[in-house]
Amino acid sequence: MNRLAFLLCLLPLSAQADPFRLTLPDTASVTAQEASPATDYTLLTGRWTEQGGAATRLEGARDDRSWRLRGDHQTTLQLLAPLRAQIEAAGYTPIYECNTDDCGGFDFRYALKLLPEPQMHVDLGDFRYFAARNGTEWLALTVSRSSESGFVQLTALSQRDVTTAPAPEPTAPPPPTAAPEASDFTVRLEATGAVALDDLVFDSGATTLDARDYASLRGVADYLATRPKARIALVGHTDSIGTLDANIAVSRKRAEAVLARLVAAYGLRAEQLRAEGAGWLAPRATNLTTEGQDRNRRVEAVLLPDAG
Amino acid sequence: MTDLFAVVDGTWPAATRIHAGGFCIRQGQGGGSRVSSASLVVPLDQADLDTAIAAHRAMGQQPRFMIRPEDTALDAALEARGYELYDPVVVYQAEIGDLPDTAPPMAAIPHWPPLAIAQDIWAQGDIGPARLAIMHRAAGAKTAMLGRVDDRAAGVAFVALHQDTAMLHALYVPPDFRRLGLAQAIMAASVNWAAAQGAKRFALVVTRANEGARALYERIGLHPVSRYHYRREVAQ
Repeated sequence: MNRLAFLLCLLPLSAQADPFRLTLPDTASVTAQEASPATDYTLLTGRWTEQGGAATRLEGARDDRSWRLRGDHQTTLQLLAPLRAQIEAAGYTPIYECNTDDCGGFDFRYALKLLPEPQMHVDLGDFRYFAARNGTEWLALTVSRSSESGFVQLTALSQRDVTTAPAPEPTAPPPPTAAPEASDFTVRLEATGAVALDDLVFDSGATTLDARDYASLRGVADYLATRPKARIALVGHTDSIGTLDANIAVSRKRAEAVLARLVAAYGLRAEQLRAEGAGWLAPRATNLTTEGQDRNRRVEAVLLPDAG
Repeated sequence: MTDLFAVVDGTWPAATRIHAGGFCIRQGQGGGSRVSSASLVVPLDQADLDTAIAAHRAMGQQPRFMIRPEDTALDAALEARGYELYDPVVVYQAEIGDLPDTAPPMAAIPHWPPLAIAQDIWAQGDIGPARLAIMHRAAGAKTAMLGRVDDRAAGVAFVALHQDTAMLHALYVPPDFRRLGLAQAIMAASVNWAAAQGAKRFALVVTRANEGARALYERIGLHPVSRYHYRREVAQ
């Protein structure tokens, strides 16, 4: 049996066991993902008018993921069609599909509650939306583009009773019993020791942090505020261009900007935080492409031993 | 290894360069920031920004500074003065043997000085007399590379050598001829020409925002090896 046939045999099984996963072209890169085990979500199911839009309020586990397709010149319909086909092939029934002004334009787009720019970009003059349902599983797909890139976001909501704690992921260790809530950030921080704060936006080439609300900083703030003895080091990283000394200085300044924001805007105590710079010493991607360099420029939250 | 910033200066030269306040100040006569900005040549604590700014004004230029990766302190000092950041640029390079050098026959033709048709195509991309003057000033081996589609001139680039590094500038393909593989053919013919001139490395600079071009360069095997941006006085 050849390898492709083997994969095809496995696919239906994994589709049953896991939440729905979109397969995008190789040129797509994931720009952001967020997950909440228990939340609410208003899924739009019709055109937005002055009276508001048709929508269904859902409660359960929400998973958001966005992709960017660089150097892609397909229209939004060309981007949408193969993804829509995958969703329908997985057993979902379409609920609603619309294009830009037919969706309700500006108001519709802002009712979508998408991941922030630049991770997810929506051109208000060119976007498409597709919603589908399979029993208690709901999907909302938004597609748009810039002059150079396509952008895709999939929001998946699994309806669940939100009063009981979700079962822990089989691969992740069970959250400690003392944890007030096992948020995605908490699970990742305690399981792997460090979490990259990938939604932070620094002004290009500079060390000042763009003024906005960041989900990752809320994760840090929730973690430390509920654990007075816990401590986190913020560690800046750079790509490999330039001298080590200059890069360590820049990466530390970025980490210091994050620390200052956590104290000033999220009310954390500075004693629970420290800022360090690793320069280009710990890449997590190749430095041979600008995309890899982009991934290497980051600030990570590193969990330290509790204060005595 | 040859300093890539020296390669930029050697293959895309300013009209004049003077030293003032610890900076090299370029006078470009309207040829764009690359030839009209100042770069630091001494440690910042021995330099004098005010002297450099005055020298810019004496040349009739808006004060502009090039910020290379090692210039973090200068970047902060200019930011503190309210100078705005613009045009982040990525520098790409590869060993010449690592790049494709085979283009379809007659897909791109090296020649110097540039034919009128090459100048016409450049003019469509706002590469006018000031930038042609820069090309004429380049002192090393140099060529215009005229790309063709269906027996028609359809795109053009400039390539010049500084020591053993060739640098490509002013690549322009008009919108009607894009997505036909022409830029790739011009690149391959340029690599071929540069190798014949004895170049060991091939390099170019591209604005960070030009994602389409950067994707092409990375696909054929060029790697981002440095970057810079500019800061300028904000117009009142």
